Amino acid sequence: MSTKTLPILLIAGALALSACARNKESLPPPPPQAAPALPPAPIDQPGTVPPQEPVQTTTLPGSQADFVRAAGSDTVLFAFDSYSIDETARQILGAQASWLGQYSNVRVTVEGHTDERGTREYNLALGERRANAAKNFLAAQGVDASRISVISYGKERPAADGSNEDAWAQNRRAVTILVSGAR
Amino acid sequence: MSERGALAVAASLHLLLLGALSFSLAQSLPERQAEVDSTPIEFVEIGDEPTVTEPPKPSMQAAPRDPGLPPPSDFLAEAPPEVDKPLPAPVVRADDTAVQDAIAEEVVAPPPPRRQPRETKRDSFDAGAMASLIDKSLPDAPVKPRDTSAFAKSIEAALPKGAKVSPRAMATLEQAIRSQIAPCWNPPIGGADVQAMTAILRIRLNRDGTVAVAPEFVSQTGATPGNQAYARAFVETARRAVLRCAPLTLPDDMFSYWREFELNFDPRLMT
Amino acid sequence: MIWRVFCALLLAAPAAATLRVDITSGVEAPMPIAVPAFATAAVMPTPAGTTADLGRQVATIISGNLTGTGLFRAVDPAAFPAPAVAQVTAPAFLGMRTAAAQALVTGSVTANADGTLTIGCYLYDVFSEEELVRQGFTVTPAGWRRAAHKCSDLVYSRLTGESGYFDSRIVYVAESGPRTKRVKRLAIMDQDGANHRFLTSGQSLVLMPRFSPVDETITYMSFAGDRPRVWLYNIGTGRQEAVGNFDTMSFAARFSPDGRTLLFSVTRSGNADIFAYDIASRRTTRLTNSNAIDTSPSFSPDGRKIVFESDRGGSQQLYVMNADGSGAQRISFGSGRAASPVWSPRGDLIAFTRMDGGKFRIAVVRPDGSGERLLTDSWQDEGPSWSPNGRVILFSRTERAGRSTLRSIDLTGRSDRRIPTPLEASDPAWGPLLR
Repeated sequence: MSTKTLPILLIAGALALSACARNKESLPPPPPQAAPALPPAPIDQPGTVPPQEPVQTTTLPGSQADFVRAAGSDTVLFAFDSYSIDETARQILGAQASWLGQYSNVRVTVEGHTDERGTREYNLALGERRANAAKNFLAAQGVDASRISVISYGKERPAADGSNEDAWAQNRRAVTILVSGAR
Repeated sequence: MSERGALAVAASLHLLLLGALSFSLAQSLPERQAEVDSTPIEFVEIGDEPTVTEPPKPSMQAAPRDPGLPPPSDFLAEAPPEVDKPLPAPVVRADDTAVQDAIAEEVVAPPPPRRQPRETKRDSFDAGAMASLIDKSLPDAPVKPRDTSAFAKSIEAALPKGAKVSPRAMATLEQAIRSQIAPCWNPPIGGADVQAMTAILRIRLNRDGTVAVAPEFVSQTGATPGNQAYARAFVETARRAVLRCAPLTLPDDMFSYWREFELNFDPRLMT
Repeated sequence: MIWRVFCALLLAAPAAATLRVDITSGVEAPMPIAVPAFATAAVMPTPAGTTADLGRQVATIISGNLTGTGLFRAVDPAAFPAPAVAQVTAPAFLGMRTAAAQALVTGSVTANADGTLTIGCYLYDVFSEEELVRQGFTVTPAGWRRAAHKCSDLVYSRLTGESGYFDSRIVYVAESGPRTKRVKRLAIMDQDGANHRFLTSGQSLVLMPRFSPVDETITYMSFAGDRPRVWLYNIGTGRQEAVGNFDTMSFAARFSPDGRTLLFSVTRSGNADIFAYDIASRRTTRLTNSNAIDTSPSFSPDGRKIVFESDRGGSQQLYVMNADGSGAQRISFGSGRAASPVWSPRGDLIAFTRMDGGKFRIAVVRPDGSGERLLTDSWQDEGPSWSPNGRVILFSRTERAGRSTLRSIDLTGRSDRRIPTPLEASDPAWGPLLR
């Protein structure tokens, strides 16, 4: 760890502790008999740290965030055990393709995922089918196929934790990730 | 040969033998005396409660013996192999690999010589035994006219086979044996070859239902060169079942039928 | 002379009609077995504890191994006194019978002058009072558990007639962290969970490790460098090697029975086909070429057939083909899907994952497709792996929105039990019996 990061971590730690203290205040007061005797305050006046200057993030053109904003989503969803592109997915992938048309030197990886309701081996192959389906759609919209790589994670990287229809629906997906930024 | 024919042959042979014995010819068979079963057998008791329902009728038709049966001498010579062969000496080995902790197998001691198997008595109804039985029984016998038909009846009762007992009594006996052995039998279910395996053991019991002689291996189906260890373990489960469940409680009046019998262990319906 | 013939005839007659009773039923209860603490002639200190301590622990391990099979039940050791050394070769059978034990495992622990330990292992039939087998094992103090496993194997194989599996290891995937960012590491341990060790750091996602049946090599799938593919890993030397040179994903690898060939799937534009890879020559042969997901290949023990799963008929089902890829025949029918088949080392059964009604269950079926039996019933049981003797199946169980654990079950469906692991666990693979 570099010496520069150490003070930042200490400050962050202090802030985290103060946050904990505030949380504690919002809790109901403990029963009086359980309250421990507070130690006396130290004689020296404690030093204070001025508040941090605010920083806001800005979406730069050609970034993943710009891509998501322009296309509506980096993710398309699939039905159970299916890799066909539905109408919603068409719109998203169409928008992704037009954005990729603007930034013709951006390369992407399409990640294919499944829900947990399949065996490990089959889901790896099914995830690959979904990634390929998305890739083929993008290519059909004019994106050079050589700019698109695919990878399947099967059921290993769910987006939502849970064993219910809602989580499963979110996890059956293909996600388009920018691997090299626009110039 | 029909069952009736066999009965008739047996009966007529017995009568002839008895006749011979009663003329004090028994001493002409001294070598048989050595094999007399030491177990006391109450011959007369059986004779008093005959279960013979149909007296045998001698018949000329029954005279030739079934040639399919091996002569007794061959039968003795072809005693089935002892199931528990002495174990081969374990291989002495000293393996050492980089990852595994070194482990070496060695023989602690050679297996001890197996107990000398008790000399099995192939047949307790040999002539010598019968002679002695009859001799023994005479003093205790109730006063009865020694006519040959009475003798025939009592001999039929004493014989475990050939005689005819009511099928119902026989079925009851079989069921009594089955119901006492099955709860003690833990067949090796799940073995690869259990589907095809059965084993027959010969059981010899004392009158009190205890095991007179260790159950003897007769034959087995489903054993192959590849499953000998499993086949052996299979037979041992059967033998263990008999030893665990002894003494059996069986009808005393049918002792002649269950003093020696065979059990066919067949788990195929269980799997 | 005539009398002798006469008597011979008389004697032969009864033998022809002995009463024979068929015993067609029995009990499927575990066999009660006594495993008292192993004796020691002189209590000696060793790096692994005193010989008396080891005698107790060896007996505990053997008892745990045997009862874990579901085929044996340990008789309470308090029911009879632990034998002294002299009683190891001359047991008091009466006491055992009183305690209702049918077999007795006993033995001794001796510290040798050269620092090794000799553990003697004896098995007796309590009712026939016969010694069934005896064997000594000499180990380093650190290897004492292996002697206990070897003794367990000796007892198990003598009583069941099947080879043992206690002196063996399991490789699996240890899981930690939230489900959405799971850290997965290869780990190895003894079949009873002892001597646990991690093999990979968790930096890369790893899946589906499988043991070579002949040596210390593992094959597994790694996402290292975002290139999901099959690797070979010699756990003795630490040497790793990527398998083949495919642009696309390779996965679901498994060794042939002779350890010389790997079978695995390679994807191509969304489909997966099965390939054979000769490890020595690094040559790859395509075995299937279908417009479908063909995966989870597994050789028959004679190396002549391959079982695999395919959705070529519309849904995942099991198929058996010749080792050269010809003559594929569907063998799974019935309701639902069938996946991740693995051929028993015994050859008589194929274990697989049956998916039906929203559940994954472990099932077995004969290679001709007959006699399918479900062995487990839970929410998600998958990825069966056979014990080296083809008697027990390891698998991973995931609770609904819950933990993943390793379990084992006897092929009769008895003795469903958890294998302890320090973290959550999946993808277990049973290694061969150690030498």
